[in-house]
Amino acid sequence: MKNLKLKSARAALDLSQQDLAEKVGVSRQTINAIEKGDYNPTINLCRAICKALGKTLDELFWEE
Amino acid sequence: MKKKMTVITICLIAALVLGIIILPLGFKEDVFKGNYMNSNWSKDIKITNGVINPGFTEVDFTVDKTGNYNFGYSWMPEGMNSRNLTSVNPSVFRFVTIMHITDSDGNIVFRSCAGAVDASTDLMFSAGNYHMVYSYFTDRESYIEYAKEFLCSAREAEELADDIDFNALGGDDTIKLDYSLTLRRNNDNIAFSIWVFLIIVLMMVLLGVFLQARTAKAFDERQEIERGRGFRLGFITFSVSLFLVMMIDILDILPMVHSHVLYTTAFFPGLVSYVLYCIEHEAYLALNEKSTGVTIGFIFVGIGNALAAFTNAASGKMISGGKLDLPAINLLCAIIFIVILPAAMISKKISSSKENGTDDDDEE
Repeated sequence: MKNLKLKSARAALDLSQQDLAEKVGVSRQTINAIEKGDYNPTINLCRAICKALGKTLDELFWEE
Repeated sequence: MKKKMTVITICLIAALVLGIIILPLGFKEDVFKGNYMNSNWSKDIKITNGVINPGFTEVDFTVDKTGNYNFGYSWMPEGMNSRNLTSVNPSVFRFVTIMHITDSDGNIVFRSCAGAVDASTDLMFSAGNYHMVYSYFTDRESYIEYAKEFLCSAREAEELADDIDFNALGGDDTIKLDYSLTLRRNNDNIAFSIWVFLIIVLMMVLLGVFLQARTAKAFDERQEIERGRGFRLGFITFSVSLFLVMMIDILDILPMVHSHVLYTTAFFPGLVSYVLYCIEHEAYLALNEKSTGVTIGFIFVGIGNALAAFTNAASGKMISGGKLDLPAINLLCAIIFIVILPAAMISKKISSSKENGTDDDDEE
């Protein structure tokens, strides 16, 4: 399932996938896979992404 | 996390380097390398109406120290080597050769009989002068007569003669024989052997340090998972290909290929499938590793293998005994590293570039 919240949060900060990947310490393809819903990140990666985007886990990764 | 060389590794490398430098200095050169003699020469053997000229060849050599020696000897027609020797029809040798060595008292210390040979054996030699004679035969009677005197008993000489097709020998021809004689004193090789062993150990330690540094490259969590899946795929593929190779070997479906070549090729489908899977799922390159360098590395390895394959083909080593031999693996490696893997890397790079350029667009 696509993670549109992550994508919009990234876009709101005017960050490319590559920029976010470098901030978080993963490859661009991994960020792409998370946004497309092809990969479920571990809790540590989720926390790192939230910290990079200034969001909470619920805001980015909770399914409503 | 980048791993650093431990103190133990550094001390080990330092000790190995010191040993490699100091060891040769502690021995005299002849002791370090062993009492070594190497002679190579050629001779034209002419055959006219079955008569050989010269009938025999003589060589003298001297052993300085009594001891156990590795004695290497060979004689074979020009252009042949030990690799292609077994695949040649013996009648091409035209004559059979008996070689015997006598000491200064006339005692026979060694003897051999063959059309052509490349062999070595360990022998005890006392210090002194030795006389080596090569005698050539195309007819059964003179062969048996000589063999009884210098080779074996009369009965054994008859049996040996029965194994030789004298009808295929003789004719009119000039054969150029290449001879080789080597003598190396076994005991004195210990220091040299230790020295070579230290070099090999040092190379293995340095390789281990290099590989450890390389594997310390970071792969993110998704890549690690994909690499694990790729390894599983590679292992399954290898198992299937090994089974298929076994069936091919048992059923003799490919008689034109040596068995050891078949079993070696079984590794490649598994290896290639692992690499291709990782490339496809963008898990082959570590973080901050560029595909250009890796692709160039692939091509470099492929070119090396292509050159080896070309050299082996040109020198007739690709085929032995009428079957495809191990040098053919170089050709397979060349194809994999020049064509398959670079194509996969370049293709993935192109598709990734396109994806990178549109990552902010909604692809739904």
